[in-house]
Amino acid sequence: MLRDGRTSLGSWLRRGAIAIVGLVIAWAFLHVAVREWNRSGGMDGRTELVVMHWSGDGGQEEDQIVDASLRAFESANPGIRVRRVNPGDAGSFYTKLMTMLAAGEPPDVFYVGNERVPSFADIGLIRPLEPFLDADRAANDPTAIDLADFYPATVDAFRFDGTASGRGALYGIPKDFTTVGFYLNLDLFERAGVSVPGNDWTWDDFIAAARTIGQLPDATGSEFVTWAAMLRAYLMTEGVDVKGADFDELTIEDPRAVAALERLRAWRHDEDNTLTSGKSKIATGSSVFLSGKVGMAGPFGRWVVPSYRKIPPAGEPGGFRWDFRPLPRGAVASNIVLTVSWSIASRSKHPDQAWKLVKWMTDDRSQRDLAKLGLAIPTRKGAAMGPEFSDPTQEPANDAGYLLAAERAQVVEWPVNPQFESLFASTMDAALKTGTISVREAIDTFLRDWTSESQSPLAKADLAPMPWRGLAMAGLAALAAATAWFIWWMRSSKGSSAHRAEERAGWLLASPWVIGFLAFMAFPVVMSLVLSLARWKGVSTLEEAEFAGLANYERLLTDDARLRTSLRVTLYYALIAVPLGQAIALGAAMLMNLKVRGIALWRAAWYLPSVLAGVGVSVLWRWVFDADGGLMNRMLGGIIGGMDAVLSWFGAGPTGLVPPEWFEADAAIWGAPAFAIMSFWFMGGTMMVYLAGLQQVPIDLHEAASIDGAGRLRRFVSVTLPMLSPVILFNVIMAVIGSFQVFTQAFVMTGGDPNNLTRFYVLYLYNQAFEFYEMGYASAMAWLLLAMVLVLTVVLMRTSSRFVHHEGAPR
Amino acid sequence: MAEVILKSVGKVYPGGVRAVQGVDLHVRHGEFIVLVGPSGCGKSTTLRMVAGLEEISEGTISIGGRVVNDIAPSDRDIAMVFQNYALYPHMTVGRNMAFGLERRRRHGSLLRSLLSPAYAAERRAESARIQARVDEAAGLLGLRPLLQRMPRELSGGQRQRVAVGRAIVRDPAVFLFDEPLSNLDAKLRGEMRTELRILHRRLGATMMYVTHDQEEAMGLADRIVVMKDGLVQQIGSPSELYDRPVNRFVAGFIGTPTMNFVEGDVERDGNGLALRWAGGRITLPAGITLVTARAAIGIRPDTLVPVADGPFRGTVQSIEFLGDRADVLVESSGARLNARVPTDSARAMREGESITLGMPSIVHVFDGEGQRAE
Amino acid sequence: MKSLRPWLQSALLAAGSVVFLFPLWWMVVVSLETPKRAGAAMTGQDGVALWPADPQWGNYAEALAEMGSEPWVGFVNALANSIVVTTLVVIGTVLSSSLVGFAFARLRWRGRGALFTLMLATMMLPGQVTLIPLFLLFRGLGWIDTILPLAVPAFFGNAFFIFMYRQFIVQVPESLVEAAKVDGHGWIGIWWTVILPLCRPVTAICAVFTFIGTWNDFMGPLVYLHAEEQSTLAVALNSFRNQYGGLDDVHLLMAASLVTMLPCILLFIAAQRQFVEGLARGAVKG
Repeated sequence: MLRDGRTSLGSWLRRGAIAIVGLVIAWAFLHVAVREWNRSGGMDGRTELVVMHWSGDGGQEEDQIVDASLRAFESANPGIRVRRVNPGDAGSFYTKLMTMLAAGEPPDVFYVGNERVPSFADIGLIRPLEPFLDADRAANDPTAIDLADFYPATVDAFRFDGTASGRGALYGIPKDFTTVGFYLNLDLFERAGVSVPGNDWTWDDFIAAARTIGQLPDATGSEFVTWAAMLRAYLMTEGVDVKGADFDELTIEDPRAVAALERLRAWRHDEDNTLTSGKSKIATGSSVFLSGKVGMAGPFGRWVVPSYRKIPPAGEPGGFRWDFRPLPRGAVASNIVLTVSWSIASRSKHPDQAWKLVKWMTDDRSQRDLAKLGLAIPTRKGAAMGPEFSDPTQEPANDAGYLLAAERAQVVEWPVNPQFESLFASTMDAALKTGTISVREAIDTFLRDWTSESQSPLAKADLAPMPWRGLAMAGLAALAAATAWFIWWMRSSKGSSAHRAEERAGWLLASPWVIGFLAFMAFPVVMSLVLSLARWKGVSTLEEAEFAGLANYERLLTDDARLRTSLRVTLYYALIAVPLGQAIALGAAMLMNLKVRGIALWRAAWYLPSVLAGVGVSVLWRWVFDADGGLMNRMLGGIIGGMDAVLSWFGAGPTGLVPPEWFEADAAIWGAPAFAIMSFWFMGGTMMVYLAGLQQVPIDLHEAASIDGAGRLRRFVSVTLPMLSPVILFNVIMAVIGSFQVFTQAFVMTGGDPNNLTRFYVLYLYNQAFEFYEMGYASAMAWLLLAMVLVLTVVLMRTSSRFVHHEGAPR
Repeated sequence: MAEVILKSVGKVYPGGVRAVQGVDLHVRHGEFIVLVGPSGCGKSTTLRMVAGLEEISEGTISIGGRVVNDIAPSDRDIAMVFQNYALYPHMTVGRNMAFGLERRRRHGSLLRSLLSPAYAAERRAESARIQARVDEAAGLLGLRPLLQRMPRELSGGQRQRVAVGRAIVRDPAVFLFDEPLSNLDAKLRGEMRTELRILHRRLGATMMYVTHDQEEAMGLADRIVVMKDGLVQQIGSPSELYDRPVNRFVAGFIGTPTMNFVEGDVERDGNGLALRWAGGRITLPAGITLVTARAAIGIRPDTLVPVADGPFRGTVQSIEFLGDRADVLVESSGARLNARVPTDSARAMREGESITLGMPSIVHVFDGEGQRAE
Repeated sequence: MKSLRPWLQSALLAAGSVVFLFPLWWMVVVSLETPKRAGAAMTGQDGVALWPADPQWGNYAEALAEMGSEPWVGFVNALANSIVVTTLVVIGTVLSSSLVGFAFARLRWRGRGALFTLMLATMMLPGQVTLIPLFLLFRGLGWIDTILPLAVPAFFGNAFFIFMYRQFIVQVPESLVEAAKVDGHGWIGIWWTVILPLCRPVTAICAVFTFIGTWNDFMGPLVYLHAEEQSTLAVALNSFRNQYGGLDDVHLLMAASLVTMLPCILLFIAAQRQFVEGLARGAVKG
């Protein structure tokens, strides 16, 4: 607000800032308007193909290569226009794909990882490709694909026979693949005096090398990731797989499998420095190798190579020599292929053009282009042998190692139900990584959970289709009845015309919310309630939903161990985050209520983190809680060190404390608290509400209390707290609701690992909906969440009425 | 003719609470009428029904010969001054005053004024007219220097003046005031009262005014309406109310200090009647008829004087000097009497001393139901 | 608290500020480091970096240029999209929420109490419940791949802000509304000329919260917008994270994150005072 005679530099600055903001907004609208205008004008007679892919590890280069390939395809096929969608990494890709499918608008052509083939093919999402192959052959098409040109395992990976992958109809043309193995830090091998193994090395060679390197100061023998696919690859080298005849009959109890898993557990947990401790979420995976302090890292595929190529040459700071060796042999020499195909949606309206595109994107030239990334191996043998992939000028020297492994690689088969992978990974994590349970227990847990999952009536039973027509009729009838009732009700209003006019005005003014509520809340909520009674794979169309009655709820309440874990984790988090968070926020608010010079700046500083959210901040916090070098543990280490020093001054022994491994070995105790600690950083909003409440406590009350001789603590307990109690209730309810909805942080930072110990309720709900596509089940979960939140709120309101001081507030 | 006529007006709130009933009132053109009564008596509700801010449950209200029951406040040709002034805090004093008129102008669109020069000129002329009226009203109230200020920069008295000015600008047939002075301190209240009186004379407009302060009512009104519990007790000029209150309530409500009442049993006294109470007995004025066994006499404190011998004998409890007069509280057996006496005679008294008060020439007699007896 | 020693007060305030601001400062430091040193700083190899040894301002240009597939185009598009969506959502939320809040606070109509309770209850509804059905709805309307699913719902009010407006408007003297009625304004006129200007503190909060929420919103744009040219900054940043998530690109990620967060920070600083005042006067009553 400007007043006469107060026009100062500040106000000019403000005017300038407002003008700039206005200009920027105007520019943005213009920019978008022009673009949309061009887009709508750009429609032409060409067939449009929507192509979706990701570019996770390939980064922008992959994005550009795909883009260039597609442009070339457009120029070669003038009748076709390609719209490209790239949501980023594979996770975002599948989420996106899911929603597009649920919307009935799948992209025509898209990437499919081989592990997804069974679930996608089972629901008829992707199109079998043999008809195209046959037609091409019959027509003697020069561009026809000859599957013999491909590594056989990569092709088999996209076959599915109705129960499992590996055989049957072909659902995708593989674009590239990788085999897996270990990356070796050759400098550490040299320092430890270990000879570098050949491609035909054994697990004994592996562990001997790891042990020797582990003896070096400040070095660890090897990183061994325990991802589901890698564990199965490991077991396959012992000649045994998890899957028996089918996925109802597992062979994980085979003595060979148990022995191999037990051996792996012992390497990590019974020896020092042989395997990385699995301490740090961040430093697992490929990046741990970059530190130069790990002798070997794996099993990884080719995808780590682009980032490893940025390791400086030996001699430079942080630099070392490195190379690749395929998976060691155990009882047998084996390996796996992980591969991605181009596939065609069953519902594509232009299958022939889509097939053309698939051929284009998997032809020799496209594959060679992509191979330059170093990220994956061309699936065409010819391309794989070419200089683009086997580039002698670049590390790793042993490109042949990947190809050698490819000859003996098997397809890792996956069942239709995508939960298999996540169940397997999380139970094995608990045994092999965090070491919280024995291998035997892990196997038992896994078998029990998988059986309950795969044998549940939801998975097996034949159900009637959802009665959509009847539901729609019922819905329309209900809507009509409600409208009629509303009209009657409005007309029944008594009172004068002025009164009735006010009543009409009230409804009119509130109508935005009423309409919004009906359209964006009531309808979706009812819809989701209906869906919670359905068995529906979100990727199929609604017509394919089946009526399951209360089966979802039944399973939810009786038979889902992960749900119970997620509830426990969420409650644990709430029990820590809510009371502590409120105490901290209230304390902070009291500080902020001080009449100190520059208090506005302090307030701003304390509040600032709350306005920041999003990906960058979450990434940052993941590093803060890193067990090894994270900010938090370095700070705690310093504090513990200080305490030890003080204790030794008094002649006492050290505390023996070590900073916790937040998201690893100590996750059962420290996982949820880590998120609680992080939430304190964002307590600014709560603090501000408390501050506002404090400022409304009449100062005379404090003065009266001090005259009555009340000390500071007394005044706080008997004046401040009672006066603040409505605000406290408000904040507590908000915090409880919030604590039940923790999602983004966990999603970005841990993804629920390890062993589900950070799988918060909503994260699990998200997993069910967007990873397992169990929309019906997820809807039931959402309703359970709603019920819990409601009950908690009501209980809080009811029990609090005795403690909460209400002034006759306007109501 | 801006008459306001209320015919059996009543207000029943949802839930059955009856705030006002059976109000009949004829406010004549140019009259300054004051509704007075204790809080909750229905005076504000009555005024708000006239304003159109409160629905009329029963009866009719007409303004200027037109029944306004179903007419919006803005179309009743009234202006209202609120207790807390209701100045728009985000507008300058000038805009606050012009606001009621601007709204009519606003119906024209900016686009139209851009397209049509004639329309634009009309708008400019309208704008100038409004400015002139605001300026005139501001001049009348001495607000000209404040026109550019925001309400929060004004004192209470200035805000009050702006609120009145805003009403004047509208040039209404009837001015409605809802306790406009109650937020001011006593001194300012007195000044504003005078100003309102002057303003009323200059504007010659009909004014309805609500207050709980009977002094204010007496000072301002041509006629006063005394209300209690939703019912009109008496309508009359200030002097009528003072001299001939129709019941004990009006008698006690009007006049400062409050009238003294002495209750007793009615006795026959020769041809006339007498009242006996614990401390004495007096003969009631001749010609009074009473049918109840109990009755009370009302005596205005300024009619009580100390005498050598009289009906009221008692002890002086306290003496408060007010300047040329003093209030003396006398505890007589069975009655507490307040006497307003000249300071000189009060100086002769001592607290705790005995004193005798004489029978005044004027006494009001009320029967056992509190109605005036004559 | 009043009698805390001044030095102790200042010490507490300063210590807290360090705790709250350090991670942010750390982001700045990392964003200005060379790739090598940024990675080292993240994993704590060289201790805590407090100051960029050799500020690499070029990191910012590099990070922004590499958003999306064509240099700079991705960033410019995403920026424009974010601004357009955020502007529309802020305007829509403020207008609709204040209007509905006014109806709840000042008008008397049957059903008001029940609707108000219903509205408060909707605040507890987890967004997960409605995600898929909403998507089906917007598809039915043909709104996919436009900004409509992001912007239009804002014009139908937001329960939380309606509540805040209502709590604030209830405290506006009734006589102001009556004066406006006498002055000849209809309900819409009263809302526009009297209520909305008076609600500035709440509007400030509403605008800032909405701005920040929309600016950082990730799920909505991800689900409703497919084409890269339509994506908002949050989505563009996430793709960026997925492409540059490795330790050796952490400096670029931090630079891009900071640029994305910058408008929120600036807005917060600009609105800080009104914000606190508004919270004090509106949000917590009742």
